[in-house]
Amino acid sequence: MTSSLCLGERPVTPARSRRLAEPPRSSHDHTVQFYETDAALLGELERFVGAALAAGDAAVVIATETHRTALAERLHARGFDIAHLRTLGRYVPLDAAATLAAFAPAGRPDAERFFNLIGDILARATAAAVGMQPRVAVFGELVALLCARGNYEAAIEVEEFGNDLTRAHRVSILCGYPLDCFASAADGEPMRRICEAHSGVVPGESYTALPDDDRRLRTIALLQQKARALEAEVEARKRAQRSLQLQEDALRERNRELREALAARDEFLSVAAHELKTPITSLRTFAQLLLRDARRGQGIAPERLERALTAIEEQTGKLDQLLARLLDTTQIEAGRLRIERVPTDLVSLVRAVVDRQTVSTEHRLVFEAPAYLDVVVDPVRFEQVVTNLLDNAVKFSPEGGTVMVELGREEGGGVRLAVTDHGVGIPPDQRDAVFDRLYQAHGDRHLSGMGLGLYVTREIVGSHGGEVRIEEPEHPGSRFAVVLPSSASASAVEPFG
Amino acid sequence: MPRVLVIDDDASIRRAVGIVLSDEGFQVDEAPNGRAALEAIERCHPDVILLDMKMPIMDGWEFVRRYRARYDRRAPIVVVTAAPDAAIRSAEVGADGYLSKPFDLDALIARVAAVMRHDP
Repeated sequence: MTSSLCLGERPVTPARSRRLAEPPRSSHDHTVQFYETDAALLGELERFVGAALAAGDAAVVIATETHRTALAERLHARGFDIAHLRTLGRYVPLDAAATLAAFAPAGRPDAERFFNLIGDILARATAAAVGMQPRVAVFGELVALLCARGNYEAAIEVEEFGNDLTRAHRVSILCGYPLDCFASAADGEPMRRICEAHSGVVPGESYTALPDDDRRLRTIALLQQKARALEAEVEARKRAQRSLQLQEDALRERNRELREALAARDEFLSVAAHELKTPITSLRTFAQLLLRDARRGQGIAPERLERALTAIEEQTGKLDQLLARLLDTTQIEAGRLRIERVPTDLVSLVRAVVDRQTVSTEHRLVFEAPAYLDVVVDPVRFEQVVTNLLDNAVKFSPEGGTVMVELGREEGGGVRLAVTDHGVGIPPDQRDAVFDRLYQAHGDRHLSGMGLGLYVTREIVGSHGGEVRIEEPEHPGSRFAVVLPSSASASAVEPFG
Repeated sequence: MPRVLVIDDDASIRRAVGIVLSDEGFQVDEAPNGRAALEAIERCHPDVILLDMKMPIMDGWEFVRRYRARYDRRAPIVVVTAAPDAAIRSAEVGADGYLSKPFDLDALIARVAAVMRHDP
């Protein structure tokens, strides 16, 4: 081989001054070259292609236009007559994107098209090479284009095609991948597989540019530390993110609860206002009646006056009771329901309430109880409980009938008070709902008017350690049973000092 | 003498309204809920009905539904409610008029007179 054949007309200028030590070179047929900057890739390409051309071999460069132009300038500067070599067919620059499109339409590599196309190019380049054993140096970065689009599978497939080429042709293939193609931790696996598909791997220039093995070993140690630190950092961030997510979920949940509580409070207020309007309506109507009579100047009939005053007496009592319940409810809500327990005879307490109730209704009240039953309860609160249960029993048995009040001791030492009516009863599916503070508002309309009574009742009994049960009587109607534990019995507690 | 049926679960309100309307020359019948009202209507054939909506046993909505299903010739209905949306409730059941609790006597009398004029 003569110099004119391979170098053209211009005189040979010596290659740029050699580095102190030659970076590691690959002597493999199919090498992958990673790079961090274009300049590094171009330097490597210049060496790879320059060496091939100088040896009389042919070079096929499948690259982007930028890389082709820059490489041609560098080779020209080294004294190669690129135009001439192109004419001879020893230097074959091809556009990477166009070549890729020719055998991989829609990003799917087609083996037949690939081998037809590249095989033809290699055959012609081999024919143009000079020397006893002509070879073809191939640089390709069409695989890098596939990786840049995230199509790692296609890139690996094309690399396997490259391995087939090295078996069928006398070629040395150099594949260029910018390290930016593998910028995330998840890209580690495709990168590993791409390395696997090559017989030689050359790392990026921050490693290969190092002058000697000692520096390289030091750099590897530092890189290992960096990798370890980054992995730890990623783990820490994942943990922080999980913890943030948990906090956010908790906040959202709390926010939802607050919104619900606020909506419930609004509804409660509107229910309360509605409840208060009933006695006010009655009071106002009677007041206006008397006023009208008074203005007519004919005096007020004594019977009418008595009716009006009776109504005022009853309705203000009712208002007072409603307000007390409202107050109880807000106290319960705020966790401030005060219970003052004292030894009490439950029999006389219940009897007093029953006696009061009998005079104001046409219902027949039957009270069954032992002679006495000593417990330790808040008598004022317990009176409220009994009153609420009797009110409901009367209210929800408008047809009249017997209301049964039974008081007694249970087997385990507890105390049981049951109020049974012959009224409309409570459907089983609503037995929990009736204790809801807002049952009236969103409950079934047929049972509406229950008010806050049962809510307060349950809370009071609960504060005494007992419970209110809704039971099914043997006849149509409902039965509410208050059960106090044996600890509420007088004998079970410390005597009062 | 025109007859009015007062349906309300509160006995005191029934009594008060009853006195007012008696003074105005009505014969007054009372019922504490929708079911009792349907039974009363069998006997008294009212010319006008005053109807509370929220009642135990049978509420105002159910009462109107059954009343309309049962009778061809129907008395005008005035909804009397403490709910803040009396007009909406009244429209819901297609009542002839409504009153919000608490009401003025004059408003009560005028409303009853008005629905009777429209439905002679």
